[in-house]
Amino acid sequence: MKIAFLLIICSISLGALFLGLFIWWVRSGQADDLETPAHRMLFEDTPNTQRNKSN
Amino acid sequence: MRPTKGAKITITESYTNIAHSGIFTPRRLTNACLHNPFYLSGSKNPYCPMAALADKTSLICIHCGAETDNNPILVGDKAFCCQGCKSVYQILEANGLCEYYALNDRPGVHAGAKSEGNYSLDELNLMVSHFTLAQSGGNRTVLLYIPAMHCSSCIWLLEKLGDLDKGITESRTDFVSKQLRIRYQEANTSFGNIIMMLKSLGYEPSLMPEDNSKAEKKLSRQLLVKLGIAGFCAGNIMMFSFPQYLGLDPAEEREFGRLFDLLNTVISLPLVLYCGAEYFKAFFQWIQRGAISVKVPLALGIGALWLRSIYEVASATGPGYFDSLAGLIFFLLTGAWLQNRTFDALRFGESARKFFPLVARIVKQGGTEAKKVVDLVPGDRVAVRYGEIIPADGILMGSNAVVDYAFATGESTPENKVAGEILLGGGRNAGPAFEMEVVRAFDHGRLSEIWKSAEGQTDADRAIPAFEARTSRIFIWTTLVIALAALIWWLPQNSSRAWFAFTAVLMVACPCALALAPPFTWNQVASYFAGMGLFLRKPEYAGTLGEIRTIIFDKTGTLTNQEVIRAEVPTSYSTHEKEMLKTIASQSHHPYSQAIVHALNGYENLPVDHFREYPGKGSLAECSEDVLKLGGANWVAASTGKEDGQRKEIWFSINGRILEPVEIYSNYRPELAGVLKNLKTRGLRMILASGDSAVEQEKLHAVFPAVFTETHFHMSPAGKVSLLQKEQMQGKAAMVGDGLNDAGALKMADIGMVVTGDTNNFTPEASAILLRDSMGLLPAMLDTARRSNRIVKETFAVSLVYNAIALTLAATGHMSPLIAAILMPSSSIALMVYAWARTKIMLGRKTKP
Repeated sequence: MKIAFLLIICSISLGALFLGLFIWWVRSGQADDLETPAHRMLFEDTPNTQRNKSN
Repeated sequence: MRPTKGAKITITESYTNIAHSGIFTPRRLTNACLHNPFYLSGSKNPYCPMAALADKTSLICIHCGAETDNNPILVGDKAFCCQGCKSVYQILEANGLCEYYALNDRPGVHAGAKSEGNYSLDELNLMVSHFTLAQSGGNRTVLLYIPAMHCSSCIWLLEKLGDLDKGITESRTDFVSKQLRIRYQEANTSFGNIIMMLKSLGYEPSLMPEDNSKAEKKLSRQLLVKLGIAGFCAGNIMMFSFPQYLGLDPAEEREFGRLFDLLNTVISLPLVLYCGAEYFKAFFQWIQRGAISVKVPLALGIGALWLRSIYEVASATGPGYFDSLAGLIFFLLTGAWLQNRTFDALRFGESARKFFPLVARIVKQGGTEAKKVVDLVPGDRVAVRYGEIIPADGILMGSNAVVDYAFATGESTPENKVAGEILLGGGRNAGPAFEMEVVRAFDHGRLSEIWKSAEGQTDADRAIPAFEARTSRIFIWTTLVIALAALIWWLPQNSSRAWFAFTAVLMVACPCALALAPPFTWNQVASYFAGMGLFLRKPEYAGTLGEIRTIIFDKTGTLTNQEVIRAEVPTSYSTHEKEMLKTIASQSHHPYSQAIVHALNGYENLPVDHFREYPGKGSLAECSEDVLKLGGANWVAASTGKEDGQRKEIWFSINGRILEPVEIYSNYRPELAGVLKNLKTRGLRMILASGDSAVEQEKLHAVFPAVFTETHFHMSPAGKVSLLQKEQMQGKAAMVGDGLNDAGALKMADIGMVVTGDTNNFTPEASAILLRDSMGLLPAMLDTARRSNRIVKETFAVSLVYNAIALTLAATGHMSPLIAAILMPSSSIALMVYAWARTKIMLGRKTKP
C-alpha cells in the first residue's frame, strides 16, 4: 500500500500541471473569445487575387 | 450565383420599365400576366413579376436585404435598394472581396442607416488616443466597437481590411463583444482613414469610449482562473473522499483515512480562501458597513461547512464535508461564469444608439439655424440664450457672460466670464445671451453623464434603489432565519443532516428575480423607447411610466404648436422700440419671445448688460440706460386688456413706460386630440396646468373635447408643484412640459417629461426627454411600459414559487447542498432568459413606429 503515496504525488502533480496550463491559457487571452475562431476556421484561405495582380 | 433569382430580376427589369412608363398600373399588369401566363422553370404556377413587385417580395437588395421599393438600382443582375449599398458592393467587387456575399445571404448593413455624428478626418485623428491599446515603432493597435457586426460575413470582411487599406497589417474581430482590433502602420494610413473606410462599408464604429471596455475582460479572465482552480481542488478532494464511501479497514488503512482527510483540508485552503474570496469579502462588508448582499448567505453557508469540516478533521471525529464544499464552490463559480456569458449574449444587440436629442442654434449670416449638438464641429458659432445649456467646449465671443456650472461641478455660484475665455460644455447660461465658437466637438459622454448624475437626488431616483434594497434585505434575512431554524431543528436528531439543511437553504435561496429581471426588462424597453423618441434618464423609469395614474400637461410648447405661434408687433412702435423689443425677446427661449424675434426679423439686436427671466411672469433686461420689461400684464403692471382664446397679449415697457401690447396668436395641435383621448381611455387622470388666463378654456375644450378631468389656469411654477404634490398623494403622476416654467414640477414628478423640438431646452431636472413629433406615440409607449411591468411581476411570481419549493425541500433536509449550488445559478439563468424572451416577444409584436 506504500505505492499509494507515490500515486497521490503523481496525480496531484499531474493535475497541477494541467491547472498551470489552464491558467496560462486563460491569462494569454485565448479564452477571451470562444466564438469568432469557430467562424474563422471556415473561411477559405484563398490568396487575394487583387493583391497578387498589383504585386 | 443564384440563377433563378437572376432570371427573375432580368424579367422584372423590363416590367419595371413598363411600369415606370406610367401606362400600366401594377393591377393591370397583373391581369395581363394572367392572360399570358409565364412559367419559371420547374414551377407550375404562373409567375407574375409585377404581382411580386406589388407585394414587394421578389426584389430585395442583394447587399442588405431591404426591399427596393419598386425602384431598384441594378448592376448587372444584382438589385440594390440605394446608392449606398451599391457603392459598398462596387468597392468589394473591385477588391475581389465578393466572397462576402457567398458566405451569407444578404449580409450587408443598410448603407442609408442613421449616422451618429459627422467628424472630419482631423477630428477623428485627434480621438485616436481613446481607442489605442498599444503603440510602438510606427505601429499602432486600436480597439473599436462595431455595433453592426452580426454574421460570419462581417467577420470575414472585417478581417480582410488589409486588402482595402494597405496600411492595415492586422485586423481581428471578437464576434460576441462586437469588437474589432486593428493594427496599422501610422506612416501608411491614419485612424481617420480607417474610420471613414469602415463607415463607407456600413460598419461604422461607435465613437463613444465608454463602449470600449477593457476592464470587463480582465474580470472574466480572473473568474475563469478561479473556476479552473476550483475544478482542480474539487476533483482532487472528491478523489480523496472516495475511499470514505467505500469504507476503509479500520485496522490497516486508518493512516490512509487520516492522510486523505489532511490532504482534503490542505486542498480546501486555496479553494475557500481564493476561489470563494468574493463571498467572504461581501460578508465582511456586511459586518463593517451593514451592506447586505446576496452573497452573504452563500458566505455563511460556505464558512459553516468549512469550519465544521476542519473541526471534524482536527478532532478526528469524522471526515468532514469537503467533497460537498468543493462541489458547491465549483458549481457556484460555474454558475457565475455561465450567468456572465448569458448576460453578455443577451445584452448583445440591446445597446441601441442612444443619441442625445439636443439642438443648438448656429449663427449663420442673417439669422440662426438649428443643428443637432452631435453634429457640432469646431468653428461653429453657437448662440446660447438665458437658461440654455452650453452644448460643447468653446470660446466666448464678443460679450461677457454669466455661466452656472451647478450641474457639471456642483458649484452653485455662477461664474463671470469675459470675452475670449474658454467655456466648458455643460454649464448653463445665467445671464444675457451670448455667442461662442465651438473649439471641441460635442462630447456625448459628458453631457449625458450630466443628465444621468446631475439630479441623482430627485425623489424618484431615491425611491427605486430603496425598494430593491429593502426587498432583498427582507429576502436575505428570511433566508438566514429559515436556515438557522432548520439547523436548530435538525441538530438534536441528526447532526450531518442539520448541516446539510442549513447550507442547502443558504445556497438555494435566490433573489435573482429581484436583482436581475427588472433591469433586463427595462433596459430593453428603454432602448426601444429611445428608438421611438422617448429618452429615459434611467432604464428603471420604463417601469415607473407603467405605474403612472395621472398626467399633468403644461400648455405652451406642449399642446400648442410651436411652429405656428405668431406675434404681431403694433405698428405704433418706432424702429428703436422694435430693436429694444427684439433685444429682450431674443434673450429668452420662451415660445412667445421666439415668435416676437421671428416677427422682427431684420432688426438689430442691442447689447445687453443684465438679463433675468422670472418663470411664469416675464423677463427683465438692462440695456445701456434703459430698463426693459416683457411679460404678462401683471409683470409690466398694465391693466389687463381684452384677451380671448385666439389672441394673447404680451406687454412691453421701457423704463416703466408701457407700450401697446404685442399680440400673440397660438394654435393647439389638433392632431393631439386623438392621442389625449387614447390616454384617457387607458384610465389616466388628465390634468391641464397652464400659466395663461382662463380665456383659453373655451378654445381648449373645442379642440380637445372631454379630455381633461381638471383644468387649471393662472398657475405659477410653485402652483404646478403643489398641484403635482396633491396628485401624488393618490398615485404616481407624470408631468409633461417644456421645461421653461415647470422645472420644479418636472423634478418633483415621478416621470418628468420634457417635450423638445428644435430648441436647446435641456432640463437636467427631467427624468425623460420626449421628441415633440413622438407625442403621438405616448399611448403605445404607455401600453408597452405597463406590459413590461407585468413581465417583471411574472418573473417575481415565478421566482417566488421556485424559492418556496426549493426552500421547503432544503429546510426539510431533502436537498443536498450540491444540488442547491447547481439549482441556484441555473434558476437565475432561466429567469433571465425568461424575462428577456418575454420582453423581446412583446416588443416584436408591436408595429415599428
